[in-house]
This record gives sequence, C-alpha cells and structure tokens, in this order.
Amino acid sequence: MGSNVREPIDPVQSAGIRSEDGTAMPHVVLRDLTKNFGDARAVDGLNLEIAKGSFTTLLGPSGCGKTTTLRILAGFYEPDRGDVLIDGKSQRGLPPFKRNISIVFQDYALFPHMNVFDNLGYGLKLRRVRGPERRRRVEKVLDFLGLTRFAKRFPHELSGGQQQRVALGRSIVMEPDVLLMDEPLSNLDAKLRIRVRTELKEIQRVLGLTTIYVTHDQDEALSMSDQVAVMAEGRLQQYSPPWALYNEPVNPFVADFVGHTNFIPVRTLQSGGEQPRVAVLGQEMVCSTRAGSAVGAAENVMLMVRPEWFEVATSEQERREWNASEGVILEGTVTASDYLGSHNRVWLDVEGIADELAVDLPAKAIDSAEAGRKISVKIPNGRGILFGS
Amino acid sequence: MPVFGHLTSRITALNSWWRRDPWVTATFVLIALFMLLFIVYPLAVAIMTPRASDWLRAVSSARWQGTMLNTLQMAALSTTSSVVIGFLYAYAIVKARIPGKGLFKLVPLLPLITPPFVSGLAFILLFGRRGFVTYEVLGLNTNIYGWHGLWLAQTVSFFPIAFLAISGVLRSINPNLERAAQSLGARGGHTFRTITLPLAIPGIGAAALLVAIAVLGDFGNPMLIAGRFRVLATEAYLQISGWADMRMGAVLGLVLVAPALIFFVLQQKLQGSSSRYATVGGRGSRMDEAPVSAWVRWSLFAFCLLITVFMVAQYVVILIGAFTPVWGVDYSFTWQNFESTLVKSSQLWNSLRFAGVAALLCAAIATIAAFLVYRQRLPFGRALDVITLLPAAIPGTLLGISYVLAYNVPPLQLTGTGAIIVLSMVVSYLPVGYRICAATLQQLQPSIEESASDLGASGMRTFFDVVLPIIKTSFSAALIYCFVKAIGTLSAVVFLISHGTVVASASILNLAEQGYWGASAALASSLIAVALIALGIFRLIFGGRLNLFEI
Repeated sequence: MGSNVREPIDPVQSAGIRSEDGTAMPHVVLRDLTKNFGDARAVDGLNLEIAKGSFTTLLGPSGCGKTTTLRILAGFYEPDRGDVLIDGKSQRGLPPFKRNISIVFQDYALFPHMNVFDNLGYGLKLRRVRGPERRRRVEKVLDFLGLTRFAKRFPHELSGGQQQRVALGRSIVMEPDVLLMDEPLSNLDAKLRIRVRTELKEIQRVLGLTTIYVTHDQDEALSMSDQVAVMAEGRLQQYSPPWALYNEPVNPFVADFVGHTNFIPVRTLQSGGEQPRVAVLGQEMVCSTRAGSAVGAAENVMLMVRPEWFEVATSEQERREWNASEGVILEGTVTASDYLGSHNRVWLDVEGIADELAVDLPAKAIDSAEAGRKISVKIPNGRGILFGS
Repeated sequence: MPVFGHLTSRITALNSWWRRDPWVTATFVLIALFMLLFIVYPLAVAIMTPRASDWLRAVSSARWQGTMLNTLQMAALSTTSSVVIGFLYAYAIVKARIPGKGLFKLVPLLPLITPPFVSGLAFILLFGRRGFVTYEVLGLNTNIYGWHGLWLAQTVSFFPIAFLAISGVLRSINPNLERAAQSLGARGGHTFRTITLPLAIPGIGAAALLVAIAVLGDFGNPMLIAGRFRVLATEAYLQISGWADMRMGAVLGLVLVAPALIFFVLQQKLQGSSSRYATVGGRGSRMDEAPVSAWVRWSLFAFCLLITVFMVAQYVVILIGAFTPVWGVDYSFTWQNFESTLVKSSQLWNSLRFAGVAALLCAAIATIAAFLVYRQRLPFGRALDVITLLPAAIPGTLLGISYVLAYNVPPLQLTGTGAIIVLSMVVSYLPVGYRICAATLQQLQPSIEESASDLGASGMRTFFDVVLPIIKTSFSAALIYCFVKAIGTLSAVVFLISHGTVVASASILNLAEQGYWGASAALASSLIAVALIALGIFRLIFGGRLNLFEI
C-alpha cells in the first residue's frame, strides 16, 4: 500500500472553499494536525476545512488515524503539531470540558447507573441549566428521538438501537458547535444499521449540526456524507463528495478502498492532456485522467475500471454489433460467479491479463454467468481512469 | 415428599453415572466424602456443641457483651480504614496512573505473602514500650498496645485485600465513561463523584466483606498488640486453651460468623440493586484512562509513597530485629537469634512440611473438584461447589475450634497429630485454589474434552490426557498460594498445635509475648524468606503469566 499513499494535499484546493475573500468561512479547520504515539505517527500533517452544517466523514482502514483525529477534536489528545480552529478560534490547550463539542462513542459510553433521562440531563446540569428548563430541553430531545417512554429505563434495559439513540440524544441536547461520532453504528446488526443510518442523516439535516463522523464502512460514508475525507497512514488521500470519491478517485488507494476495482496494465500511446489514448492487448481506447496527473507517452500505467463500467454482450448478435472504435473488447472465460440478487458478479479470465477481472452482469444474463462460459465485454471509450505507476 | 423424590432421582442418576463411568464416579464420591468429613462435619459439631444455656450465658454476661462490642468496633474501624486506603491506592495506580506504578503495585502484595501478625510485631518494635521510634528517637514513654495499635496493624495487614478487589473493579470501569462525562462538561472532581465512585460502589462493598472476614478472624495481631483490649478471636482461644471451656469457645467462634453473615447479606443487596451497573454497549476501541489533574496525581503519588515507606519500614525493622540481641537495649549484631530458632528447634521445619503436604493436597483436591463440578455435570455437583467455597466465609478461629471439637474423640481422633494441622490448612485455602482452577476451566472450550471422549477417552482419561496439561499452571498456582499462606497461618492452627507439632507462626507469637523480640523477628524473617523463595521459584517456572493474587 505504501507507494499508493499520497503526500498531503492542499486543503483549499481540494475542498474548493474560498476562504480568502471571506464569503464562506469554514466552521472547523484542521491545520497541519500531527500526532505521534511513541515512534508511530498516527496523524501526519492533516489539513481539512469543514463547512458549517455539513456532514463530513473520515473514512479509512483501521490504523489510518481517523479515530485519533476525532479524539484530538474532542480534546482527549493534544496534537504534537498543528491546531484545530472552530469559528477561527484555536482550541489548543482547551480541556474537553471547556469545548462545546460533543462525542458519540462507538460503545456509547452511557452512564450505567443513571436512567435515560439523567443521562441526557447530565451535561445540562453541569452547565447549570435550571431544573424546569433542563427538564424541558431533555424532554424535547427525548420526544424528537422517540425515546419519551424509555425516560425512566436504565441503559441495560434498552436494545442496542435505543442505546445508540440515547447516546446521540445525550450529545445533541447540549446543542454543541460540532458533533463527533466514532463508528456509532458498528455495534448494530446489519438491518438496523441501514435504518439508523437514514435516521441519523435526517436528524443531522434537521438540526443543521456540523457533524464529523468516523467509519471504516464505505457504504456508511457514501450514503450519509456531504464530504468524505479518505485517510491512510495518517495522511489525507482525498477530500470530496461521495460521488466523486467513487467515480473520480485521485489515486489507486482510494480507487481500491472505495468500491471494487479492476486494475488493468496498459501502455499510453500519446499524452493527450486529459483524454489520453492507451493500448490494451493491441486495441486502442480513449480514457480519462485526473487533472494535474497527466501521463507521458509510451509509459506503462494502470487503467482502473469498475465492474459495472463494462458493457456485456449477452448474445452473439449483440457481440457482432460492437465496433472496435467504440472501445476495447475483451474475450474471457468465466471462472466463478456470485449471485447478488440485483446482478451477477463474475470473475473473468482474459488471456494476456494476469489478474481476473470482476465484471457485473445484469441479473437476466444468468446463463452467461455460468463458470466455463466464454463471454465478451467492452470497456467503452471514456470509461476507465488512468493512474501513473 | 418432593425433596425426597428429588434426592432419590439424583441418587439414581449417580448410579447410572457409576455404570457409565466408574472412575469419575468413584473420584467424585471420594472428594465428596472428604468435603463432608472435613468441612461439613466439624462445622456441624461446632454448631451442635453449645447448649441454649451457653448462648444465654454469652449474651447476658457483661464481659462477653463488651468483647462482642469491641470486636464489632474493631471490624468496623479496621474495615473502613483498610477500604479507604485500598481504594486510594488502587485509584492512584489504575486511574491516576501515578509514576512508578509498576513498583507501587508490588507493595500491597507483601502483606499477602507474609503472616498477618508481622505488622503487629513490626509496630511493637517501632512504637512499643521500647520501640525504636517512640523510645529511641522520640524518647516518649507511650506505647502502642491497645485498640489503636490493633487498628493500625490490621489496617496495614488487610488494606491489600481491599486494594486487589477494588483495583479489579476500577479496571473494569470503561474509561470512555469518564471521557464522555468530561466531554459533557465535567471537570475531574465532578467526574470522580458522579461517575467513577458510584460505579465502584459494588466493588467497594465486596472488598469490605473480604476485609471484614479477615479482620474478624485475625488472631495474631490482637494477641500481640491489643493489650487488654479483648476481641472474640483471642477470647475464644483463652476459653479453650486456658479454661478448657469448649462450649463457650464454640459460642464465641460462632458469634464471629454473625457479622460476616450480615455483611454478606448487605453486600448481596448492594450488588442486587446495582445489576444496572452491568456494562452496556458493544465492543469499541478502549481508550487509555482519562488523565487526572496534576495536583491529584501528585497527591496520590505522595500518599502511595507514604504507604510504601511504612510497609517497607515494617520489613526492615523485622530484619534488623532478627540480628539484634536485645531490642531497645543492645543494638549490636548477632547471629544468636537464628541459631536458637532455626538450628535448635524444629518449628520452621514443622511449618515447611505441614504447609508442603497441605499445598499438594489442596491443589490436587481443588483441581479435581473443579474438574468434577465444571466439566462432568454430575448430580450433586452444585452442592459440591457450595461446600468447597464455604470455608472462605468461615473465620479461621471458628475453623480451629470446630476441628478441636470434632476430632477430639474417636472415630476420628486427630488432635495432637500433624494431620489435623495439615487438614485445617487444606480446607482454609481450598476455596481460593478451587476458584483459580475453576476460572481456567471456564475459559476452556468444552469441545476440547468432547473431542477427546469422541476419540474414545473415558472421563478420568480425558482429565489426565487433556485437562491436566492445560490446567497445570492453575494447579501450580493453587499449590503455591496454599503453601505461601499455610506457612504463615495462625488463626486456626493455634488451636490445633501440641507439643511436637508447634509451627513457626505460633512460635513467633509465643516468643514475642515473652519478650524475645530478636528470636521472634528471626523466625518471622525466615518465614518471609521461605515465602519469597517459593514465589520466586514459581515465577521462574511460569514467568509473569499468572498473577496469583488477582483472583
């Protein structure tokens, strides 16, 4: 993975936020954030600007520094270098109890000796919010989260999903500047997770809370976020909206980490700016490349193609109608197939390409998905992203 | 009668076990016989011995009332101070993570491996009539004998029990809870009061119970340092050894169980109301402990340092005392004390051989009992479990009295033999040994044995081929625990020794009472040295893998 990891990128450019003219001041700014644990560098020069009211996800494999970043934001760790600015104010040296930031823990960390009502009221009490006012605010949040009838219950008397909502309630009742969430859905079962995901996003949208969310689950990241920051080895890899992450990954790491990807070794024919021509097994096609990462002519590079970007000929007829100028046509033998309900994912052995290709077939093409069948697939011109080696 | 039907059906079940697996059944019957004979029978005898008039005599006499009140007061005082110190010490190490905690952690282990009355002895040498600090340094004419001396000695002897129990509980409190409180605006002190302390309460209750049982059964310290302050454990001894009043001795011994029982019920109530303290939420990456303020951290550091100095001073003074001809008068160097206690008499040798045999028996019985209860699902298994754990709740004094009463007459006339001492040691430390073995077995997948029996191994065969190799570490732990505790034990043994079977702990007490401080200290130092060597060998063989005293 090492060689795939990029150097830190310029936050202003990547986030597309104009800060000089002051028209859209970011709400939260991470500036050159660095944290070491002994010899290990957990976070390495992280720069990020987060807009007010946005839902931002820190996504990455375990050990990428996303949780450490969140804990620095909460004030549990002091960064070795760099700073966190909220509304332009430095948070350096501020202990957790002086920050108006609230965190939802992965294990919820509900106070087991207090009932739901007292869990929610705990922070307000510390802020010296008076009895009736406190009661009103807690009840409002309980009502908002559908927890009113559980107010007198203790955490161990609640289901996992309810506990999760209490943890969220305990944070939002504080009306924090920034809401932090550390893999809050990882302890829920698969079905509940998808439901709560939608709920969480809706709550965040209604309250307009600036939310920073940590997960290693790309489905969560893609479905909930306004912006996703992909991290690896403590460094920021890409910071963009979910669709761009999937369709326009900036490097092979992101391409591989988000969704499934085929990498096909190709040779460039000409360095045609953003639309270079490449040769694949003796055929030619036009593909795209990221701005600023143009490749030269006659270089050995990687072509990235998502499984669903292939076109598939389900009959001899369709195959004959294809024209060599529309893209690259590959013939291969199906070695294995996974039936996924909405479609079939088959593994295709193509002569001249070392790795088997993952190709998505429509569910109706079930015959073609049988192991041993020979099928033809096409990479249309323009689909496929080029990465320098 | 339904109870009868239940019983017969279980006996029938045992019978069918016998046909299926005679070896396992025979072992079970043997172990059960041992428990009945050496735990249930003597206790039953002790309960049956006093008549109603004896009870009346005990409650109505002003003397016994005073003694009972003293005992209760002492239990309340020493338990409170032990728990407070144990809590602070545990908090400093687990939550505040004071510098040098790796070393500080070892200090409370010292009293656990040395006889409890060592503190009493050391305090006399330090603060007694001719005490080094009171007489030599300060030139005072006060002394430490009395309830305050006893309080000090018991606190130092028993706070480690509280420390171990409470540090386990503090470790189990998820640091994320404290972090969450901080994130919601709680400062350190507030987090402690509203989160850490309430969650530690059940553990504190459990610690208090353990300490209270130890304090109530403590015999050596009151004998040495209490002066004219009378408590039940020493009075029961005087009734039996001085007045041969067995029935009153039994009454006083049984009365000792009452406060322990009350405590037990209270603690169960506390635990019951705190089932909500069960951790909730699933797994999550656990953060390190939330930092406490520098002020708190360094105060706790100073506190632990003070305790450590105190603890180390005890052992140093005993070691110095061992080489001193006449404490308080002549501080020159001598080997004389060791010669008189080690070479010319056999008490240390007695302690060694009794404790050695007891440790082997204890570990063997504990291992087999744990195997039978947790692995074989025999009928009456639950009863065996309860009986094996029963001695943990019995103060040593009562155990000693029960043994005197039960084995004084045929068919099992054991008084005066070494066997009775060995048996009392086995029974005293069986509960801990049993729990060590059971903990290992519970972690073991039953499928391992199932596959062994699937491959054709019989019940006892699986024990020797599969179970024993796996639990040999816990067997050794039980062995070493029993040995280290048994060589210093006094409460029960003091009732059971006779002319040829005097053990070192009793001799230390005796020598100290007669003012032979040097000889007493020399023998105590030798006992401590033996315990340390035994532990050292254990560590050499098994490394730090198994922490003996964290069970």
